[in-house]
Amino acid sequence: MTDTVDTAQTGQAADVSDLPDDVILRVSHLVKEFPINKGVFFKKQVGAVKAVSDISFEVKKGQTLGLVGESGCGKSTTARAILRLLEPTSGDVWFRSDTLDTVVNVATASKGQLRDVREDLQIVFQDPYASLNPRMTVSSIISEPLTVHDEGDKKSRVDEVKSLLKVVGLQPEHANRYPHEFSGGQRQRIGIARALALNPSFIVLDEPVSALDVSIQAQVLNLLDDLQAEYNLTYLFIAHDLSVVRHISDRVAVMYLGRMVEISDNEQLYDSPMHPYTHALLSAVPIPDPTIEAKRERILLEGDIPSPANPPSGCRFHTRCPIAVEGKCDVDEPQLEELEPGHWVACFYPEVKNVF
Amino acid sequence: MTEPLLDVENLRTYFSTEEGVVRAVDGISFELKPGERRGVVGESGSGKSVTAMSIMRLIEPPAGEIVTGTIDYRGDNLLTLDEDDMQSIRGGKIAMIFQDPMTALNPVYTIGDQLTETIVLHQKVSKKDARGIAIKALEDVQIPNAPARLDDYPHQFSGGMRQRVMIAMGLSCNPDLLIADEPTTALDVTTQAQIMDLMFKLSEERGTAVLLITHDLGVVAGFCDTIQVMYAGGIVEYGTVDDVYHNPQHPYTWGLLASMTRLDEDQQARLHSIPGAPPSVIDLPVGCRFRPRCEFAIDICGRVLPAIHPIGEGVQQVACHRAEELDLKNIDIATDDPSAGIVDDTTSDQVADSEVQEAVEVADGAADISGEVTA
Repeated sequence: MTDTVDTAQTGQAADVSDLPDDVILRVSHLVKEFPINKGVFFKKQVGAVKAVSDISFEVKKGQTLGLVGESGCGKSTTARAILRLLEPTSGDVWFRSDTLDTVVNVATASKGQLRDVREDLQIVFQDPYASLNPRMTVSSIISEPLTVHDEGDKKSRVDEVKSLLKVVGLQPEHANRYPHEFSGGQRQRIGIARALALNPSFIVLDEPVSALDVSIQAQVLNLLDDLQAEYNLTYLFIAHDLSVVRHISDRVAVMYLGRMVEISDNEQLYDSPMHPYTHALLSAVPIPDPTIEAKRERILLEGDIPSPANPPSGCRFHTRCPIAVEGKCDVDEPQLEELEPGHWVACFYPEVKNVF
Repeated sequence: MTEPLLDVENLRTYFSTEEGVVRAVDGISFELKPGERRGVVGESGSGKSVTAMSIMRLIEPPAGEIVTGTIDYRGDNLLTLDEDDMQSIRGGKIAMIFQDPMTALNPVYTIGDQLTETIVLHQKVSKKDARGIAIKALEDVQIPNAPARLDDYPHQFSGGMRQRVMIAMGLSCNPDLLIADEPTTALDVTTQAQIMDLMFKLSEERGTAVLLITHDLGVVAGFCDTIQVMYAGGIVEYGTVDDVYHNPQHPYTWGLLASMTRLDEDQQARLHSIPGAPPSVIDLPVGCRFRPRCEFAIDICGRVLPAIHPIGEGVQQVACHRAEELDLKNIDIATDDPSAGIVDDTTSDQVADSEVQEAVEVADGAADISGEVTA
């Protein structure tokens, strides 16, 4: 966990010769803006929603990076821009592809390259009710990636589907059923099987358990753990639930309004968080223990998250920050700095705080 | 003993669907004291929202029907009141706020219109006075610049602000009881903290009882005095939050608490998980409804629906045949040590399967399960 961010901040992103062997993904200066247009016939861009502004991070092979933040912070946009499901406005996404046996810049890759890279780079979506086509059988849903990438013949695909169903804890007999015949947890297992079909090395999990009941959440989290160990998978785990992220992640990155405010190893982030937003976020998460809850002091933030179309000047958090300093935080924008080994914070006045 | 504010007795609310009768709430009884904050916790389909809808009499026949039971509010059975009397209780004495404030507010009327409508209806005041009360109500929920915001439409408010408006509306007539159905589920965690803090303060100041319906055991821990855990239409455990969280008596409660990821624990080990999924409320298992997923189930669990009964010294109640002999508190889930009483998932599944078989055989002969209910 040494130069996670500074290479991305100082070095020329086009050069990846320094990409350590154990790093599978390097996101560098990623920007995604959505234009705001006005006018019906003569469309004119009058502004932009700055969903993701200059985000840089790395993910090591076999590890899980948790990306947390509240709605509108840009975490899902980041995920989609990494996969090129959304076209990034600028920035690079370096990915070490097993299929191509080289490092590819996903952000600028050609269509053909992108197709190959996606054998290694898969995604599981949040809503298992919306992400499975209701008119396709489970078998055709899971084998679709195989068909698209022309893997095997019909017979081998059928066998593959059956073995994938077993891997995610479903029965091979389920192959000919439709999504509506399954519960939420089972559907999420189908989504995971589909993502596994091409034997990827990297999976983006976009709020994979948020729509599930607690008892089912634990089942899916355990499954994800098992799969990671068995297939040496790397995860980018996006969630708003900080306790789930604590359980599953090796490293955690916190986003606020399109910017990354803090990134560090799991333990450090939870035991000694330094950014005032991270403090507020952690202190707001309820703990299922009445004795602890009775003693806890909540840091209540004022107001609501500002619009990403018109983010505040200086530090984007200064409008709600309990320790903001006038004349500094509203003027200058803090950059991520490594304050402890592997612990990066974007704040002019960082301090370690225990929030439990 | 204070007189209960609300006394629900043997409530059964069923829905008829093409697939069969959905027994959404199936014979629950509970009391709520004035000023008490009660958490009603359960997973989707456990019947917690239908409980709330039944109290408000928002169940519309022929789709749904309150089949049996009484709901006494200060001595009046709400189920036998005529619609006019019910109208004056709804909103005036018992208020309800919903999960999604955007759909609960009417988008074509201003916040002020909607607030004053309730106030004029229940407090018999002039429109002008109602406006004053409405401004006060918005100020109470800490909405800045309340007089001006009164003329805004719901879409001009953020999610958290809309939920504040809902709370203002709910509390504008000073009800005795506020039913909050997943009030913060759609909100971000920092906004949730603001809203729960606000509801707590208002409930303390005014002595308003709150029935907080949620799937989030964390929110209940910090907000409620007491908790009732629901599973497949029934209450499986009740008690003070301290008792239930620190000394859960029902295997379901215990399993839920153990399967939660916690912010204050570095859980790199595997999570405990409850196998399977909640049963369909159309086709409920015979005997204890949790039995197919319970690792402690024995023969009787497959035959007899356990009645909820007191356990221990305090007010705690549990619906489990084995509650007295099981020592759930001292089973160490973190270590996953079989000698500590944990049964391995796979073996317990197999055991459960063979028991299902037995239970079905037994039940085929002698099963009128409704007769077993002594709630």
